[in-house]
Amino acid sequence: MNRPTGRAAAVAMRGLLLGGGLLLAAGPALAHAHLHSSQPAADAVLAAAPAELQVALTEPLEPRFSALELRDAAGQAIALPPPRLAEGDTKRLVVSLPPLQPGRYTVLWRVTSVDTHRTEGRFAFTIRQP
Amino acid sequence: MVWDLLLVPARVLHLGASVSLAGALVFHAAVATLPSRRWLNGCLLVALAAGLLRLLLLAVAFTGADGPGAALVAVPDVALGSRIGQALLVQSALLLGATALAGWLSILAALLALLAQLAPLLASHAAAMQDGVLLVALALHVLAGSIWLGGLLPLWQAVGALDLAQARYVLLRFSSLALAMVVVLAATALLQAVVMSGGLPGLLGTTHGLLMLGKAMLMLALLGLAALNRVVFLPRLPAHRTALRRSILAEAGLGALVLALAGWLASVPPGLHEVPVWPLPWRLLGWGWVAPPGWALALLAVPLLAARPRYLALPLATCVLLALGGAAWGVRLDWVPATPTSFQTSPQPFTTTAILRGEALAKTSPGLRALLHPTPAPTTEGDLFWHASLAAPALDDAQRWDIAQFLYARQAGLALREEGAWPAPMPAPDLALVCHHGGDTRLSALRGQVLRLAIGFAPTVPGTLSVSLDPGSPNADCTARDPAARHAYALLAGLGAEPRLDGLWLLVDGQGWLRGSGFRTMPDILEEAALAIGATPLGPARAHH
Ligand code: HEM
Ligand code: HEM
Ligand SMILES: [Cu+2]
Repeated sequence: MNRPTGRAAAVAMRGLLLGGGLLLAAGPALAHAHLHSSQPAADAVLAAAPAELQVALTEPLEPRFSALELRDAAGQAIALPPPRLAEGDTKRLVVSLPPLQPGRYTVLWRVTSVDTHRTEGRFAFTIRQP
Repeated sequence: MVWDLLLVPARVLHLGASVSLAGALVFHAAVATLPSRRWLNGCLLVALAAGLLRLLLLAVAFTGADGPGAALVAVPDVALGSRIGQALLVQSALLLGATALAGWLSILAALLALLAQLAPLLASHAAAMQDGVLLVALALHVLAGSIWLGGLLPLWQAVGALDLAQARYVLLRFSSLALAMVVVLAATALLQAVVMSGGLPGLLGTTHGLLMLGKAMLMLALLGLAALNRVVFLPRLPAHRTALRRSILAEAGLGALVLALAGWLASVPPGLHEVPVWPLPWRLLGWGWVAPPGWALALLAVPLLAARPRYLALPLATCVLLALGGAAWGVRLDWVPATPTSFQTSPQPFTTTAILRGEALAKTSPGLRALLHPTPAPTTEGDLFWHASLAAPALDDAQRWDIAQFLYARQAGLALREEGAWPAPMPAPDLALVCHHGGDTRLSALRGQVLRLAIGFAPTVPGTLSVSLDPGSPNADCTARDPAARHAYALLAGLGAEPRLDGLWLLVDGQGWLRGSGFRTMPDILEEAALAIGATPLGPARAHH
């Protein structure tokens, strides 16, 4: 009756002993992005090219020290104007997009929140062939 | 980035200098001895220099420059174009003004210096969280901390320089002021800890939580020294003046440590938003009472019987102590084995495809297959992630979470079979649907309605939306896109091994929780279960980080 519990405890203990290194390695990858939502949404497949990119985060932002980058499928950066805050929403960055060809695009966001914290992340969207 | 490592020390230096300055000016206004002009000017100079250093380091961090040289051009931009920059400028101006007024408009000087402490709070966590109550608490916390700790060195100076009567007066006055500040500090610390820590896992398992615990320990040590000063040294003053001064100096040293932890604390993300790493091999599942035996109760009466009517206080106190001891003895704590990831949840959404991916992965190694035999101890999704990580070190985190979600769903289903209920509230795994009205959608987009998921035929229930897990089924409001989703839901119903699933139904409430399941039951059971959902809501679904 006692054995299974004992085994579980042993596994937990071993985990603790082995765990330090493993966990340190796992830590950063476990950390979550700070993205609340975006337009286009992450992994969206669009029928037409969007005119604008919006990225909403979980905290008010410093727009002058926040950047949005767009890369095409080949990893080539697409020139964008500096992002601005959305009208009446200090958590949302907006940038107008040039006309985009069909294909897969990656958005890299690197933002500073008003508490001076810097976070970054990425997501992708696809524009379908017409 | 090595320059980023300097951000916290610069913040601590800045905090220490501005707290010392504000505390000294309040000391002068409220306790009435001017600390030496040299001390005030020194504090001001360090505060201004550290503020400038912070601006420079922030410019490095914000612009991603290689070093301070390259970031120098961005300093004006950071100073004028960011909240922290503006706050630091305003704070510096207020501190300058306060120091200039010191000596002739002491109350105004003190008020300006206290106001200066509030400026940087516009760039605090509480401000970023847009929580007004938290921000007010933090403001009171910082003011109280400044008045108490910032007054210690002026007090030390005063006790050394004044004659006995004056020193005694100053000590008494300062200690009443400090006591009030300690009460404010403790109350606001508690409030901040409750809101920001993310519970016990956040307190013990994140840097922010551990720093808070460290501050609490230091605060206790500070209070110990303060009590020693007040109760032991103050009444024996002429003889113990040196000891008292030494003790005040030690207090100031501990205070500097507290401020170091405070500056560090304010620079790391609150435990609430971090992934906690549980440090203990056990966790507390719950607690209960064990009734004490009768003789223990009888024991309580003994001190009372022995008491004489005139001296009741001592026996009563003994009784209370005995009762408390007995209560502590009677508490039964349910400890279960824990893993460092016990309190972590998957960063990816709970979906049928994740469960199915996890099932496929779980077959790939003997170590993982061994996890299919569930342990009797309760496990969380995070525990299963840990076990999967140990069993399959070559997989990446996303794959381990897939396995954890599969195992979690499977165990929940087995428990449902055996015990008639899921052991913990289970969210309905998300899946892609096609609906009559609206076309392509997902289960998670249908929040707010009671959903009736079914395989094969299921009777209609008024007030619910029917979702068939059979793709292309003609009679349902929505149908699953992927036939494999059936197996994922069968696992959750404890029917993973069943070859024919026709007749399985599950109910999902408006918040996305699974609320009941049946297999080839009479139609009225489904109807009853659907009605029961409306009567007993479960609360909002777990926000999936
Ligand atoms: C002698 C006692 C204490 C003093 C003088 C003190 C002082 C401070 C100061 C000056 C700050 C502001 C830091 C900054 O914004 O740069 C702060 C923040 C804070 N303190 Fe304290 N503190 C004390 C005790 C405590 C205790 C015991 C706790 C909790 C257990 C606590 C919890 C906090 C929290 C949660 C913050 C906000 C940190 C953040 O923004 O993430 N403090 N404290
Ligand atoms: C530095 C201070 C931080 C503050 C003051 C803060 C504050 C907040 C607040 C107020 C929310 C709720 C926003 C909402 O949903 O409306 C939130 C959500 C969240 N935060 Fe933080 N956060 C901090 C740092 C972090 C960090 C460093 C991470 C991850 C690396 C993080 C990850 C998250 C996640 C994943 C959510 C949930 C997002 C969602 O799905 O809505 N936070 N945070
Ligand atoms: Cu932050």
